[in-house]
Amino acid sequence: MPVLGLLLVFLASGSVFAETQGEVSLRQDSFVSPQYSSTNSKSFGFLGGHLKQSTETTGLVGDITGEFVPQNPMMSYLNVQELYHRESFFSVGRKLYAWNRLDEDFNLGVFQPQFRWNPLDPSSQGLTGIYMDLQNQIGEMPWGMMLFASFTFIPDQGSSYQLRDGQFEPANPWFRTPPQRAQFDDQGKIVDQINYDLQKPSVNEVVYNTSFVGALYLGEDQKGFKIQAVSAYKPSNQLALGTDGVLTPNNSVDVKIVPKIYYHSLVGGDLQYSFSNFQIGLSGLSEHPHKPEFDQTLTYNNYNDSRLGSVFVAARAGRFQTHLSRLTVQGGEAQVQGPKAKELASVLPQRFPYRSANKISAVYEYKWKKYEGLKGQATYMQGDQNEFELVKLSLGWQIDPKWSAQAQGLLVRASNTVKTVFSDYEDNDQVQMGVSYVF
Amino acid sequence: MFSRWMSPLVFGLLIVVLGSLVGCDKFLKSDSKKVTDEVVQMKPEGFHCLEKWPDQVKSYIEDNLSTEETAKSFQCVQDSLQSFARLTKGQNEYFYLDSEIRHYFNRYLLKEHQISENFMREIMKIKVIVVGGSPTQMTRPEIDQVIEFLSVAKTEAIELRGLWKTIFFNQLAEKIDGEMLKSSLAKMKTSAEKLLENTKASDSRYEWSDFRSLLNEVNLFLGDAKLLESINKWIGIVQATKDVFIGEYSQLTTKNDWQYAMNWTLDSYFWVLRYYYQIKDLEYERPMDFQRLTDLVDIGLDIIENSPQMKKAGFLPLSALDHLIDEIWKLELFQTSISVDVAKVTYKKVLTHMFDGRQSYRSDTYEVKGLEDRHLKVIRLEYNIWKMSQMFINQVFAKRSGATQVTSVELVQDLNRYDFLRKMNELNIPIEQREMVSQSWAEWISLLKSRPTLVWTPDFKLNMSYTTTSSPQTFTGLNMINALRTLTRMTLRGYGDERRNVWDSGITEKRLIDLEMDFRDFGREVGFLDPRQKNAASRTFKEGSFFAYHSDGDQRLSSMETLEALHMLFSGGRIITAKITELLEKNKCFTGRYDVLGKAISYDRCFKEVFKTNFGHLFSNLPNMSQEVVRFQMMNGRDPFDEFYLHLKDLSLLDQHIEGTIEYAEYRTMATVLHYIESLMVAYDQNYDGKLSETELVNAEKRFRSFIVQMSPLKDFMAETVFLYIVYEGKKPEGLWDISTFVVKRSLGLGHVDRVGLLKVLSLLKKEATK
Repeated sequence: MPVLGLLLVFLASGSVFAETQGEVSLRQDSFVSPQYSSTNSKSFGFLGGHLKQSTETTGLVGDITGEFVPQNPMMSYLNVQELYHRESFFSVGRKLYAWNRLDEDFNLGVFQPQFRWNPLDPSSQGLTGIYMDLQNQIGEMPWGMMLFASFTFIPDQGSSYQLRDGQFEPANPWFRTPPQRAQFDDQGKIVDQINYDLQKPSVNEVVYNTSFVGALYLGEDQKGFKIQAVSAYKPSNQLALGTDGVLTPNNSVDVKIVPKIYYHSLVGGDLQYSFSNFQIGLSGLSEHPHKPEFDQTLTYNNYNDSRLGSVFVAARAGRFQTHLSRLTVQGGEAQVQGPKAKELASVLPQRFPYRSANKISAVYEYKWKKYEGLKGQATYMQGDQNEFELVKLSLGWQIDPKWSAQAQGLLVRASNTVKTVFSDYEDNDQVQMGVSYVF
Repeated sequence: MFSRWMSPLVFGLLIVVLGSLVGCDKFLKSDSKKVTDEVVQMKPEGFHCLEKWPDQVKSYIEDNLSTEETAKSFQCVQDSLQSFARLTKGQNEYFYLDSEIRHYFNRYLLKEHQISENFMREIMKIKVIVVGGSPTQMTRPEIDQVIEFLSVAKTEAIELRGLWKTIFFNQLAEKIDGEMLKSSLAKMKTSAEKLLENTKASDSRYEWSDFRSLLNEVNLFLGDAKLLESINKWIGIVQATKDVFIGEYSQLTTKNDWQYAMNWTLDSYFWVLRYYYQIKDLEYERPMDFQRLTDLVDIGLDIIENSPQMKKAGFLPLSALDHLIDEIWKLELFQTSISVDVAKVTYKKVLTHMFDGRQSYRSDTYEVKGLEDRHLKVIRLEYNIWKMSQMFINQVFAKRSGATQVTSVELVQDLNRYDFLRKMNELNIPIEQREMVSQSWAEWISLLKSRPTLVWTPDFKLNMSYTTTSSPQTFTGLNMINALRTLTRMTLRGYGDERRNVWDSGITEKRLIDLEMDFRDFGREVGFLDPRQKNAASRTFKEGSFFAYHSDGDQRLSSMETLEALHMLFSGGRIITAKITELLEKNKCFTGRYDVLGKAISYDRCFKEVFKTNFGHLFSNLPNMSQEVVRFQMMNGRDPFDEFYLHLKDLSLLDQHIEGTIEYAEYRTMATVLHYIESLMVAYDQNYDGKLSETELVNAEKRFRSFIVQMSPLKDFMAETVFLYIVYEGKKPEGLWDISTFVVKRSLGLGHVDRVGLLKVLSLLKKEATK
């Protein structure tokens, strides 16, 4: 219900401006893997709404999506991708900006937080704070500067979960349930249940954190060279987890999980060249994570410095577009620290969802009328060691100016030798079908 | 261009394509393990190495574990404890209840065996010793302390590596010497001290009963029947020993108490090791053997004197000593015919009658509470007296490396040169004992220079030749003289008439009877006294009075008479008798029946044959008699041996004699009687002709006078004549007529009496004595 309330408020304010678009949708998600067992039901119906507000000059800009699942409210969400007020070159609020190409291409969430309701299909959300966008469009080589500062911080938005009596309820297929059992005896005959105690940090502790990001660019997006350099000092969008686990005389293991904000320093750079219908480019990113400040009784991951690199090629041919990119990650390994480093490492997250990826995507769009047409999109992503494969197929049919239908398939495969984000969701292959109405 | 109706078709086709892809097996059949199936491995690090612990402990005590392996082994326990503390908690975060620790061990670590509530209680008591605290709780800091303690234990275990084979009686005796044991003991004490320093033992109230309970629980826990049996076998004697020397209800309450008790226990344990490796198999044929023995006794006496019980209470309780004897007998540690009850009575009598100071203050068994300090002082004095002489004997033979005997001249020279005072200092003889030890040394010199001298032959029989004074002394012979001298001293201490110096005192017949009464049961059980004979003490007294070299016929056995009598009893009654038994067995003389002492009864005829045939060999220590008997020749169709044997038998047969047979007690008496006969010859046959002349007999009369007076109707009137009458006429004079005619006969010359004649006289005397 709070989700719907927020949508209504936005609709009310949005009605004041001209460039507002609203959409309601109905969708069915079905998990098709025979081995799927995360929830009792394999199909879920979604009632959704999407509001988008844009302006060229001054005013409110927003992009908010919300979906409600009557059958399983835990799967409902509200995704505020953007919501800011623009005043000349100043903006205040949550605003999307492509600080780094590879970060956006692979949705790593290094600069901008990610909406990870479905971790297999994340999307970026804007940093929340004050933006100053200075541009010099005069001359042959335009340049600009984007500065961001904030005293508030909103991390990645994950899927919802429910913890009852120390047990994570199997309510949301997109929530990665941590291990439920622990083995203490040497022969592995006795396995005890784990009771989790998630010690959430206070809202103030999370929100009141300072961020500074600055980007300087030279050139234009679709014409010739463009260079962008970015530097940031801000909290990581992914919280560090500290954990402790002890066997109790009640034949259970009490595991405490303490999320904690930690800062990282970032330097990134993009170089791209656009000509004719092609675009090629390089993107790099260096991260220096600062050590999380955990109590010494807790075990946690201390991540090494990392360097990420990506090359990409994009091409357009009439109605057809394609995009190829490759990501490599060096460093960023987790150094488990704390008294139970050996035992509890498996409970702790890795820094990046995967260590290498090759991605190809293609889009074909055909319109036979201004508001009638088809749009198909296929994406394939694979790890260097074939440790995962992800296939995403989607088809949108714009039936008329108001109505449209969508279908999407998401297939995932993960090997059991190298752990990636896909390992946790290997049985979450799904098919979505739905219709939407724009008003 | 798509027509309007074509659009849904295309859309549908795409859905089909999508659907077919969705159905792809490659994607839909996962083979990876789901996260929710994952099991967090919280196996405590190092716990798996605990499985090897029993083997490693075994290797360690077999001295097969290297330094590195030993360190690793301890590290394993430390790591396990650390992991345990790290990965578990009690209901209370700061400590574990004993029940919680038990739960963890039983549920997660122990598979075959489970810790019972009682066993846990005993384990917690050990915890209290090591780190203190509550016996029902183990705090986290206490676990850290245990780990620290294990570090100390590890260092000490490495330090003690290589000693355990010796300590657990698994080393070869030839690889062990005294110095090695001494240094091992020092190491053990140092380690024990360090370990004790790192415990809270002094704050604990740990008792022996706790230790015993722990052992019981360990047994139940392991369920090892053999181990259980083995522990149960020894636990009784260990407890009894502890009750004697540490006290039955002892509780160590201070650090000093623990330190003292631990050092004392180690001293005692190493004393046992010393016995096991250095003494047990000695044959006492070399000076070194006796050196080792005296070292052992010195340490043993120190251990007794310094035992916690002795220090605290001043005595070792009789009840505890009785219990210790019960346990020793139960385990059958010694092969003995003595019953446990007799053993308990006997040691108390020895204690109270021989070690209880002067006779006038001597206690009876019911009066003493235990082995007291005053008893130990007497034991120490007598031991020092024995040791001083033994050290001299050792030195005499040690400097003549390899020699088995020394001439009398050499012995006297050594005696004269012996720096007794320096030796007393070397041996740390206590100041208060020095006067008595010096006195006894003078007596020892006098004993060795006495004539006839006590000398043992190389084949370990009492040498009773005419030339004993100049005969060489053997090492074993001198040892025997010294040992019997100590036995004599002990006898005189207990039963001698009261004189300031023990060696100056003597035993009356009455006191010897007292001795027999006191030790009758013991004597009978060891086969020394024949239960059928009621007057053993009287007989022995008379034999000592009549037949010792230095008998004087008075109403007491002097120390010298007692010593000489003991020598003859031992040589004849024990050594030669044993040889006769061997020969009888070899010649199949046994009837298959056994006497009251459990000895085989022999056929008389067979015995006589063996006795006669082997007489020269058996009685090689009586060379003059042997030569005479061997030279016996048939005269007038009669064999003189028959007469010799007849009279010898007359003297020796028991009242319960079975016709046609001969018993052990009978031929034992024969062997002893022959020593007596020869003693008279050695003492009085001044011309060595193998016969006693009238003059020589007159000289001998003195020692028989009191007996003659007793049996003569004339009492002390003409006692010498009566004595000679008996000797020459072979009967007791009936009246004055017999005496008168004998006086006439004497004036004409009486001639000589040979050994057969003496046998006749002794036979007569025996008959008179038993009237």
